[in-house]
Amino acid sequence: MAEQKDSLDEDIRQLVIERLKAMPSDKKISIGADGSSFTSDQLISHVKEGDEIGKKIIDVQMSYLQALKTGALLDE
Amino acid sequence: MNNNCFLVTRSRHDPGMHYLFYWAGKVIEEANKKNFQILDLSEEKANQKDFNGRMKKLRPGLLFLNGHGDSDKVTGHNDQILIKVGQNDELIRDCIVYALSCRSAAELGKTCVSKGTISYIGYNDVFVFLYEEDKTTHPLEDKTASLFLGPSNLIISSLLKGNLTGQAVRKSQEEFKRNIRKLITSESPQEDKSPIPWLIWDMEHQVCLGDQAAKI
Repeated sequence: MAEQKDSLDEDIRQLVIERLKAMPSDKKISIGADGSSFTSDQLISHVKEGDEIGKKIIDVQMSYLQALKTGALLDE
Repeated sequence: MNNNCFLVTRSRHDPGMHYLFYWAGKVIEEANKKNFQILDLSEEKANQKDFNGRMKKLRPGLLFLNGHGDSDKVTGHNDQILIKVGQNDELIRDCIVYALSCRSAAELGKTCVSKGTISYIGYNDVFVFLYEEDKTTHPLEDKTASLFLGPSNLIISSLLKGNLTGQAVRKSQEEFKRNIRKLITSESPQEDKSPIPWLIWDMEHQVCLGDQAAKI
């Protein structure tokens, strides 16, 4: 059971990393309470490290996929 | 409510705050045109001493707080605490507040409403935005940042026009959705769609606590 969860977590992490690779290099993201801004490469590093910023990025991307699934984005 | 005193806090000590500083300037211009009395606590003036002083003396009816934050606080210049649960939260009773900061609606907003703040509009998780590196010297020309900060500014613009707090939030949410749909349905290259997940996040975590039918 724990192995299944680890595998799922790893799949999600990889999915998020692939999505972040599509972000253009000239754009930055302002996220977090310390005023930090990140490039896509820096975001990917945080996801790989699994730190607080990385976990938040995964939350954001999973929320998006959930919204796509439920069709909420196209509701009038 | 009939109070045309409008207090804004905005620092620009880091890149994110730099953007918020300029975008807050847009609604200050709108308020100026509508003859609001504006208390602009910008840069070094975005500190607790000046904030407390203005709140006690002038009792503004509308607050627009631009700063970093956490569940129990909003900060000002150099991330100094501007308002915090148990410290000076009672100062914003009888006000309508919009806090453009991370997480403050989660605890600070709830506490303030329980202590008499009329409405507290904010975010119950992090507020995120994308910007274009080559536009940092001209933040108002940044079309990527405008996808996020446009809907955010709409809250204050709507309130200045006399809309109810609940209406102001609905308008902001509709603007977020319009921007999301525009990106989803456009035929632009894939990279232009990268803001979508972050827009959804901000939209879903924007909340209005307290009275939904208040106006300035």
